[in-house]
Amino acid sequence: MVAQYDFEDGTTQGWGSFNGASTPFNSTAAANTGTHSLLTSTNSGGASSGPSISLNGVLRPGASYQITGYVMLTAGESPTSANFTIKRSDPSCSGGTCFDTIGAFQVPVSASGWAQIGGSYTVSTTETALLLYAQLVGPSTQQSFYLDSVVINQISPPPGGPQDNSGITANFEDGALDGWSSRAGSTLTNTAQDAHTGLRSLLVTGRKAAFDGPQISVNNKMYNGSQYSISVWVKLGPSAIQADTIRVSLQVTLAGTTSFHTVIGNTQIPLGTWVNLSIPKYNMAFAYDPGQAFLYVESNSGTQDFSIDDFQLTFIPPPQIQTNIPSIFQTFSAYFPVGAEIDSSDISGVHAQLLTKHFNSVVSGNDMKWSSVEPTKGNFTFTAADAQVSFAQDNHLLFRGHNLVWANGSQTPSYAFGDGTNSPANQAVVTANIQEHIQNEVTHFGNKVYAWDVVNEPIDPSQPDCLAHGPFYNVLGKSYIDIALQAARQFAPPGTQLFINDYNTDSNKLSCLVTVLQDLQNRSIPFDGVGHQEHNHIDFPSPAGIVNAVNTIANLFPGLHQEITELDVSVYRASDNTSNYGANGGTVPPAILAEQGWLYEQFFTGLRQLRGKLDAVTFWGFADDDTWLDSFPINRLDMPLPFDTGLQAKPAYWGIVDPTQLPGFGLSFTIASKAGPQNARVWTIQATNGNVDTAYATQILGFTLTQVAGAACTPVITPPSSYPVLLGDIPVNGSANASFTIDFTGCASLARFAMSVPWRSATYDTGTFALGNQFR
Amino acid sequence: MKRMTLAVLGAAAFAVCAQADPVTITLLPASGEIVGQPGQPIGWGFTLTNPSPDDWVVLTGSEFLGSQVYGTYVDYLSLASAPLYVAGPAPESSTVTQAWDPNLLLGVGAFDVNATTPTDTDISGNIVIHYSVFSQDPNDPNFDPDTATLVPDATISTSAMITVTTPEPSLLASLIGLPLLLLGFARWRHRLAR
Repeated sequence: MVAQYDFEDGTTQGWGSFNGASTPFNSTAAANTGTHSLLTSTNSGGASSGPSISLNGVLRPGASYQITGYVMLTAGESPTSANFTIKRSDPSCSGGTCFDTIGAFQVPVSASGWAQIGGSYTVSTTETALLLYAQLVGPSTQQSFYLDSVVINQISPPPGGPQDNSGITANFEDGALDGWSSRAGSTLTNTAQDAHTGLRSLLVTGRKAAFDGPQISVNNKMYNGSQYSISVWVKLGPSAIQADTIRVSLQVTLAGTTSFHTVIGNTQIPLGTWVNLSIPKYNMAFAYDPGQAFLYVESNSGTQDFSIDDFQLTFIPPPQIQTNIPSIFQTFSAYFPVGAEIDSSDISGVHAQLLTKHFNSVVSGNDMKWSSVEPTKGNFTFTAADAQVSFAQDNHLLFRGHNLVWANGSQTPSYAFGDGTNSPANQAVVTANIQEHIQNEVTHFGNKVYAWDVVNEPIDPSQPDCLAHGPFYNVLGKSYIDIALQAARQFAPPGTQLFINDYNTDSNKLSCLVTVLQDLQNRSIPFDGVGHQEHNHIDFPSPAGIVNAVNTIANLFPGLHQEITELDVSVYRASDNTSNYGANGGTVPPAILAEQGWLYEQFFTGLRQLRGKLDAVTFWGFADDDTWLDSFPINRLDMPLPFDTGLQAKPAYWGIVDPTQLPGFGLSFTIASKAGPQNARVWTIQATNGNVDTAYATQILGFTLTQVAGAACTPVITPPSSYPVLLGDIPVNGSANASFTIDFTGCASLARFAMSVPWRSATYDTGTFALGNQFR
Repeated sequence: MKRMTLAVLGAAAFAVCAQADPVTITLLPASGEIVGQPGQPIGWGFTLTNPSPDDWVVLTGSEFLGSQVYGTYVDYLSLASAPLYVAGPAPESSTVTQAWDPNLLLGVGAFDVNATTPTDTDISGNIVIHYSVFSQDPNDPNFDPDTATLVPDATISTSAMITVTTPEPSLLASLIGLPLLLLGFARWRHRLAR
């Protein structure tokens, strides 16, 4: 059994509304089995609407399933027909969407008994999203019906036989080809002439084309929907005369059609050097006919000889969330809701589990932006956003809307700006565009959205009027902000909070933000809140910045709502637009992740002090497998969120929820010894780590003695090196020492001192080892 | 593990002195559990006992090992103004007791609870107390730290917890309600008198 929905737990089990049907709810008024079912009313038209559930990640492309359920009309409804349908997003469908009826199109249903609907269904190999819904066929007025006992069983797996997760290892030390074969006539030779490790490798000569080289069958070893790490070492052959570009590719054949896909991109191979080609996580997204899947090594061009060695294909088990760690939103229940930015991939499967465990508010990353909901004038598409809003309602999550007007014109179709000029005629056009867009969007979502980022990123401190001079401004001047806010106030339900949302409000934009807010307030333009984006870096801004910003706004605009709206912390410094920890198969060093964890600790310690002034804190994402920073400012590996790419808690999470679990927590200092003569007394300071994880980059920043008793004297302190004195990475329960030589000449035996030794570890774990009443 | 490390340090100290009875430091209150209010400091006193007939113990510092997202720990023992607490043979006393006094900054230390910390928050951790051990009384005019220092810095750890709460209703009544009640009574009497 793949899935079962019996509703016996009293919930809707993730089912939402499709096409205007009422939000389904759990009912005990009728049941096919047990005592519960799901009750829904169709839209006013009666047909093509009902309860729905996402099957993304539940059904596998290429596999066949039996999908059945039972329907009964509520008492008094006239008999009609019903079926199960799957709304399939698929580029092979006309318009990108197909509606697949499952089983009979019209199954007679009535209020007198339960009728089974459904049948068998084979999943398209090119689908990108699946939404199952039950609908009535025939009625022209609203009707109510129960749904129960929905069961999905797999009839047959995707073509190719059972999945084999054992992986492939080929080091050629046995003298054989280890399953590798020639693609197009090249010669493969197991050779002892060269090797990356061991004594042997596989030499490829006589290549007929750039795509010719060694290939290995990955039939059943690489399975559609699974993830793999892949690594191979490549060296150009002895006959090669110049550097070359090599990559690893995948060939699959499905239903007679062969396709080719890059797995590890073009990699420069210099002469005479073994180079690793690897990818830590490859999503296998292709079905294939039995025996028709091959990984192969090819060049970008030319036919130079090359060798391969130490090939490794490793299956990566699908992630499971940790259920035994504290919920983030529950940890902060006395402070503020904690939200996350989401997209369509987050509302089903394991991501949805992680999301609902740790967050009680969400915002759509892209699906409510102008270009998403109204790509062409007057044509609105709310499908993706509706699914996310429905998910939020089903799971009792707050939903904030982002965004209605983006000052710089990002993700906004060009028609919105008219002809781009500030002619009176075009001003009228753009004004109408803004008003109509906002009217339609906020009306569509109504009170399902509690707050809107009405104007996004309007502040520019480099401009005399503090406003970004983007395409809306160029047409309408600052009045575009007024128009947007006034339209939002006019059309959004009463109580909807209207926000100005921007970045760097904790630093160089704060004074301009105040100026703009005061101007809006003076002119009685409606607004209710300020969103501080907080896309942060490992070195900027300081947590004190956001505390100051929120306090400043709270003092100047009492009662104004404030939220952190887009929080993440890049592992790169703010000025670093070139580094990539993920280069050459690398990852972010644990020392950096520890540093990030301690920075999150400082940040949330500050946010806790804003209790009563801060209405919500929203992360821009929640796990590192899906972050916008992987492609901004360049394509690179970034890990800015509380959970890692495998959806497991990082130091960042612990810094937010429980700092006592951070690496290096419990680091403590003692004076291990005092020895030597009065004029060269040696005090050895010992740092001892706790039992959580390594205390990275531990440093002593200074050493001072303040005399508290005895005749005045001046000890002269000589540190073992210039400050900071580096103690390095201290392992769990390990220690590191630093000896300071102190000349106490002139100090009496009874002289006493207060000692102060400030230190830091992982940059943001800081403290002072202070002792009083120290004799020399 | 932390406590084990400290115990080893302590054992080393007293092995030097061939001492049977260990140094003990008891927080006041002895449970280590105290009740504080948002925006207010709350702290611990101590009782130091050194039964050794041969050596003297001096308290030198303390730290709070636990989450400090709800407030900040202030060590009184390492302050320049901290008294010289010595426990040991005569003329010193083997036991020294100091109540917590936030005005004179006396005791082990204080936890300044953030004003925004929600009530019913429990802040738990360990208080680690540092001390030195000498073979000579530090108050002796002939004391020589170069030869008398047995252990420059040993530690003892004990659990501590701060429960953040609001004043009891009865206390509130006495602080707020009673004056209001008296005020109302006075006005009633005033009206009767007209």
